[in-house]
Amino acid sequence: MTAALEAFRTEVRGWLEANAPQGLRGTRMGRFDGYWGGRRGKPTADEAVWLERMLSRGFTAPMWPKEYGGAGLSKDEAQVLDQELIRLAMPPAAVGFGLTMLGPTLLHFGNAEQKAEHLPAIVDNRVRWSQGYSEPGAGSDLAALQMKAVQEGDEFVVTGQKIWTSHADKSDWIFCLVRTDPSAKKQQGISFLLIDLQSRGVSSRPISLISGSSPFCEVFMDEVRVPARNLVGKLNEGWTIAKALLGFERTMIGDAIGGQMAQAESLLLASAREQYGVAEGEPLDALSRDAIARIAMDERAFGLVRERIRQTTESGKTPGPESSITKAYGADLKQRRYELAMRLLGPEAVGWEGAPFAQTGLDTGREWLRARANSIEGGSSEIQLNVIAQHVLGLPK
Amino acid sequence: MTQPLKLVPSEDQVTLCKQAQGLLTQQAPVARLRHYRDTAGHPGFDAGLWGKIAGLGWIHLHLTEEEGGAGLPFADLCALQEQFGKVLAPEPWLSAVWATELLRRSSSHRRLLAGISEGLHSVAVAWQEHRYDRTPKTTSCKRAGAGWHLSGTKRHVLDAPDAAYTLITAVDGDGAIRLFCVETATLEATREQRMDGRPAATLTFALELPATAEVTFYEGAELAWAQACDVASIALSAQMVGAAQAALDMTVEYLKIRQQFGVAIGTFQALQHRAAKMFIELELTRSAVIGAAAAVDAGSDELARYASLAKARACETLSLIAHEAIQLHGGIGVTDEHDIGLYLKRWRGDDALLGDASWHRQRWAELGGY
Repeated sequence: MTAALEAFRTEVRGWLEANAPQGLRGTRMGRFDGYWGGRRGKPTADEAVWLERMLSRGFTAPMWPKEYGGAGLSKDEAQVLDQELIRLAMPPAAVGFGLTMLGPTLLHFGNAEQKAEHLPAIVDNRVRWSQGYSEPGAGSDLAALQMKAVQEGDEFVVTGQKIWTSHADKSDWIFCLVRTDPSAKKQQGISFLLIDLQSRGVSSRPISLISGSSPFCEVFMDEVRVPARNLVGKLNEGWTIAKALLGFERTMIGDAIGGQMAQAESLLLASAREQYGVAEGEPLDALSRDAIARIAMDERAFGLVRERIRQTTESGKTPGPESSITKAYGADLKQRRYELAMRLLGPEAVGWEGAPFAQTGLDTGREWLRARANSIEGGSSEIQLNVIAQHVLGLPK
Repeated sequence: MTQPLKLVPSEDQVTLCKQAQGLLTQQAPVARLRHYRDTAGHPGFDAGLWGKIAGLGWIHLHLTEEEGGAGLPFADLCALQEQFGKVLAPEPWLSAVWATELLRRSSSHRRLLAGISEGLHSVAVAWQEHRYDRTPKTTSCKRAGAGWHLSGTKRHVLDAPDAAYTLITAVDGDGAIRLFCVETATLEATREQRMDGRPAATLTFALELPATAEVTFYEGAELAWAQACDVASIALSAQMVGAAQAALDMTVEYLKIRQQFGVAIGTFQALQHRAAKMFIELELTRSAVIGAAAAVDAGSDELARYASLAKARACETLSLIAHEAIQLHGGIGVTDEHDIGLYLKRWRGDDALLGDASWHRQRWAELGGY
């Protein structure tokens, strides 16, 4: 810990003490529980003040260059900021796929005009982004995507369907993988295109999950006209960009799960004590304690592996295949955690809604069901294992 | 908010590891274990190599300059342990680290510390009685005149057959733990024929000792003993990470060259996924061990929890990889001729040292108040 970093910590701590709205302190849930913004976003009064103050420091995108509204912090400074936010249990002032996925990708692959147009609107949360990757016929085999984009003058005409598009119904823009050369080999005919969801010919429909929630949508494009300047990178060379963004996505999912897992030990412990009637300070039965300790220890190791990757990765570099480790392990860890939570609840785990079930039990049930998607979304665990086997261990295709 | 532990190797550490790899590639092929095992009367390790290690200043590199060391981080010592673990080195590393951690906290036996560091003496640590319980129950010490009467039996004492001195834990009349340093030659030793081939013995003794045989500590025997066991567990876990890495490397290499059905078996997705899962577990465990070593260097008050995390995960990961490695090697993997079987045997031995995975999970829970 250098003196400069310590000075930064002192300064940031003082600034947060003076500027974090009292009403939001202690309300932090996780890395993705915060104000999602967008044209239709309705922040609470506290959220609006919090966003404005954080923006004045560039702290919604702390590592981005100042010219786009970021704070230009080093990764260690950004971590200090994060720690100080956690110290006050402040929710993030702005969250969204613009900040975690599209922004970092544009910083690498976008041209000057695209950066100037889109990055400031991501930083201040004016525009909410969604991800147009999967299609009904292109899941694990993403490069089989068929959404067609035909260039006509200075426009692309886009037709096709996307699926598993998170929050498309609440978003303003979508970054899409589209097929611009149907005759080329799979990966070679793909381009990366930015599309305004308010364009004529776009419609979307939410998908209800087994957990009862609907984070995902189907998005339909029917001859949607998109300005050619919204093409990121070169025509037919979108696959490289697509893969880089997947690295950001995996890192994001790993970090999100890591944040959610931090409370696992104390919550599981409280549940076990309640269900088995074991007082504070008394030892639990051997099976419960072994199972809880296993989750807690794996959670600690998961935190350490992510921290180690953070320290080894240069600031701003696109994540390599190591992001598949945290994606695959995080999904498995979260699923095991909720399996255990449900086992500890026993007969109380069957509730779906309302009394006589306790709310914590009901929430656990929904999270348990939701967690089944963790090993599918953002690249299935099987795909992550393929990536590790072939790109890290060098096993032949 | 606590500072994040430093988890990336320094340039010094990388250089040190390369130096160790060079030495071990030349002088310590895994195959030597079979030679030691099959040669009657062989000491079980290479005394010449151990002397070279001492000469390089590696045994005490993490001690302060005041303690005679180089003042390098414990993380560097763990990185070295990993290199030795890769080749299943039977040299008395664990005993040396363990004894060093005890004696650097001692107010009475500082000179022996220098002897260990210089490779002049090897010192075994005799503690085990019933399973993994670190508190002595049956080995007792009673005051006898100006000195002590020490009696009991210690099992599975690693490196005892070749150790000049043995450090013995005992319980006194008040139920407190005390430590004694005795010449190993004065103990009745039954050498163990172990699966992992490492030198070890069961020790039985009933001794009259001078008062100076007791190892006394600046901050009490109980704390010194607990801390030394934790630091030793982390060093052992680092060796196990090395063993797991080597076994995984050998297996991945085999998947690339072994041809069946006209293709390399490494093209099969069922096998690729098994290899990838091993890799993920190893990266998690490596991070846990690096974190535990960094916790030692940072003087973390969570040392015990980190040590249990490291050892529990090291036990499970080396178990997974050693078992899978044999299965993926197929028939050749179950022959004595192939090295991979030695990794499984080594896991069996390491697993039983200083607590297995379930013992450490229980300890983690106890430390967390449940």
